[in-house]
Amino acid sequence: MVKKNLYRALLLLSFLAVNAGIIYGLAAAWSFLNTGADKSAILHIGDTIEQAYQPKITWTIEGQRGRKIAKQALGELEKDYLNAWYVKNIALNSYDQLGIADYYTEDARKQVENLVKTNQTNNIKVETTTLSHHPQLEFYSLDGKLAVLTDIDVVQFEKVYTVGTLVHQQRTSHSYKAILMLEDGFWRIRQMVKIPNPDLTQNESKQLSFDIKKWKGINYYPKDNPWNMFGKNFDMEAIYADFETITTLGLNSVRVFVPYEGFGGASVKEEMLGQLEELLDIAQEHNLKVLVTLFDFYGNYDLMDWTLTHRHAETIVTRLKSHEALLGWDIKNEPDLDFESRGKNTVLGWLSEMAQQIKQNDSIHPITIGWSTPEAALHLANEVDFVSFHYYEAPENFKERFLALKDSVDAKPLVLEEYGKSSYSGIWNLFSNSKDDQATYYEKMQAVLTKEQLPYFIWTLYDFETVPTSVVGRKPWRKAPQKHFGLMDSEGKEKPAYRIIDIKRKGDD
Amino acid sequence: MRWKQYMWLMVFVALGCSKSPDAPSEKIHDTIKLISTEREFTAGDSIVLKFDGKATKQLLLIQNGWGTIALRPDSTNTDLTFTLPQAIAQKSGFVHWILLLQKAKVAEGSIDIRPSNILSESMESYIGPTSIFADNQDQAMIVSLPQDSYGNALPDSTIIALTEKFKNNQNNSSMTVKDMIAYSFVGEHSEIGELFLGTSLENQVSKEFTVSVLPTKSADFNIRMERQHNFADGNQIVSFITSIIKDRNGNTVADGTMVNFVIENGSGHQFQTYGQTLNGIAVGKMLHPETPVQWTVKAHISGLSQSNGLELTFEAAVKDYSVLISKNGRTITVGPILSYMKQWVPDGLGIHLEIKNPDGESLLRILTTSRKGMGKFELPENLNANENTVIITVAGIEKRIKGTIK
Repeated sequence: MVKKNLYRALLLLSFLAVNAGIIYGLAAAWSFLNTGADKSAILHIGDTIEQAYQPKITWTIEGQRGRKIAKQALGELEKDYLNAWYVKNIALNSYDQLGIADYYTEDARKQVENLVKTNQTNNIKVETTTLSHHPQLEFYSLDGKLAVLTDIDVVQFEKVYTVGTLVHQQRTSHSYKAILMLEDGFWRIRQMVKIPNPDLTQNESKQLSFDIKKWKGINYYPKDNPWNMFGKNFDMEAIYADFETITTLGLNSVRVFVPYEGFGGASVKEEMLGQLEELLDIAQEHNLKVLVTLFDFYGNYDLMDWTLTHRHAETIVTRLKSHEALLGWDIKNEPDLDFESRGKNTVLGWLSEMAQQIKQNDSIHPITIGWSTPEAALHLANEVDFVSFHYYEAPENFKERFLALKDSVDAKPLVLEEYGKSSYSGIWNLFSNSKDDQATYYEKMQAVLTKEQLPYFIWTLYDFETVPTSVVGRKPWRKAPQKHFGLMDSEGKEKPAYRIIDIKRKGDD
Repeated sequence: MRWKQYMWLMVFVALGCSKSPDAPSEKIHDTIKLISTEREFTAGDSIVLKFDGKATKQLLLIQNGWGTIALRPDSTNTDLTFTLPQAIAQKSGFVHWILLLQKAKVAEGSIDIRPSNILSESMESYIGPTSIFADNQDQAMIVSLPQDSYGNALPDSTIIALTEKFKNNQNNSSMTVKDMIAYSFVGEHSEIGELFLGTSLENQVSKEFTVSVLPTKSADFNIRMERQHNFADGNQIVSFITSIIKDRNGNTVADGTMVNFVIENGSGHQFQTYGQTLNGIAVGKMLHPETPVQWTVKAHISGLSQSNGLELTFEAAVKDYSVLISKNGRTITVGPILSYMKQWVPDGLGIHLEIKNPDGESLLRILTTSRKGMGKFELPENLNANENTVIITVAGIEKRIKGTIK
């Protein structure tokens, strides 16, 4: 009898399993047939192609001989001249000479070809990009078909590989003279000669004055749309209310994040930039200072991508550099986490150059890099104005690790740019935390911070209902704790930690 | 208690799996010095950079105007030398080099390569625009890119000879190289013709260039007319002929210049006709009018110049004619229409008929043309010429015949 029932059950289950299998198979086939290009692709509506290469270019046309050049003509000359550099950079890196014929005359083409061939025989690859050009137009012919320019101080970044291994990388500055000719509607390089760099008086880097000791801040995302607060989610009223809360807590600064792609990459969207400016205005009203973290979710660092990121930073930095509420620039959040996937040298090279780029556009505000640990913060410590690090581990070890960092960075000011503890208690951490644990954590941390007079930015104001996969990945044991770092829960109720931080109520400011 | 132990275990396992931190890889090397003393070379020379040391795994990065290459040491057992490939050694300009040993920079410097003394055979030159006006101020420009035999631009201050020939004058001048090119403005002639140009530097010569010096904007001109007779017969053609149209410097304008003749009659209506110049003369033609009229003719070259106003009158070719209405009032016969010599007018003269009822309301309008001096109208069935007013117009002469039968 029992056996019979068992058979019955097995039969029934196998029937269900077979059915499930068939349905799954059909669904998979159906969804496969529905993937592929969007139907609107049939229309071949051209997308605007973003220029892949946008080094900073500054023209001087005063003192030009021949016919006076018109703005339009100069624009066309500039476009083709930069394209000529771009296709040559690609040719040296990939031996692929596509486009060389468009931007080099027949004679000049041979020169590029010779170099590429020499490198190919020696198994050498040169990855290079130019970051800035300062062309001086020397001559423009009467019929507008020939131009000579001196490109002074072309900042180049170069990586040399032999048989695939990086042997050298450097940032150089060189000057060139070039003859360009207009053929078939293209400005083509006819002659290119390197010349010694003219003597340029180097500007001494100015000593910045900023009062770091006073900063008591918080990393800020609104509770309803963390990691995605700009664009259509931008909620001025929520930000206004939250900044009110932050002021009530007795804090005086916030750290916000600017997503690279979300802000439009190289051509920053006016909508987003306007919203960031509004956020700074609101901060200004509350007497809060804002530390702007750039390049959030950016992870390419490739040399070919440099000029695009430079234009991104340039647009944002120039727009906001005179804002009263601006505290400074954090170039990138936790870039050390990309060391493994992108190569340490690649990431550091990008950061170092970006630091210079931001300095060129804004010489007033301090810059920093938000390293994920005190140990990682040693990187590029000489190139930032203050050293930032994050700390999410046991408060007991904090002082020791912080002091070790302090000893190694000489006189550079330090900022604890992110710290906090999740009050998440659940299956993924075996119920080992609680809201009170979080409060205790802050009690311990605040004691050290006050004693060491270390400026800090708490992570974070709210618990979040959702955390995007792009932040901590898909794994639930990583996502769940990330939702509970707030001083307040996702409904805005104060957690015990709130009272620990509340400086005004404690009256110790 | 168990939980805690378990947790610690987990932590250790996790730590064991994590990666060890990056070990510092920077190595310090002794610097290697460049022994060869030459820093300036001539394009095409064999360029060898010699360093103190043994050839091992060094790499020499070389950057000139065109890009960067990397070289391995020459295969000699004794010295550390690098021979620059022709692609680099033949190109003039500044060359920057860096010597690497196991990823570390051990020496760095630069050399200068000057253009060779052997010149290229042909002088690359460009001229533009290739046609200019003979207005004493319009210019063309000749640009020369003198080069050595390896295609390198010659240094500043090199002097290039420029020869210009226009009509019987040959003129030699010079232009100086600056920024790899030499240029000169040419032109500024007041006569039309071909300007021949050539540049040279020693044996390096350009091809022959030509700039056409073209007449400039036309000056005002005169017109006259030619016609067979002055009767308004609607048959002959009157020609308007311009004087030889010249520019302000007396050069005949280019063939094919469009001349627009505007004719205005006494009642303010305008007609136009066109002509294109040939050897400076343009001819416009127009059919004689059919009615005696006075014309005022003026010719224009759009936006540039105009002629005098020419007046001409046409006399009536037809003095009189008769009109016959048939008894049944259905046929109207006009003619014979006689012309100025009492001959039949040429076929095709317009004859207008209008029929009005006694209240003055227009019932019919028809046009026919003369044939053998006659014109004939057949009226539609419901219309009787005898019951209405018939108005005939030929060559501006109007005849009115009132209906007789009621």
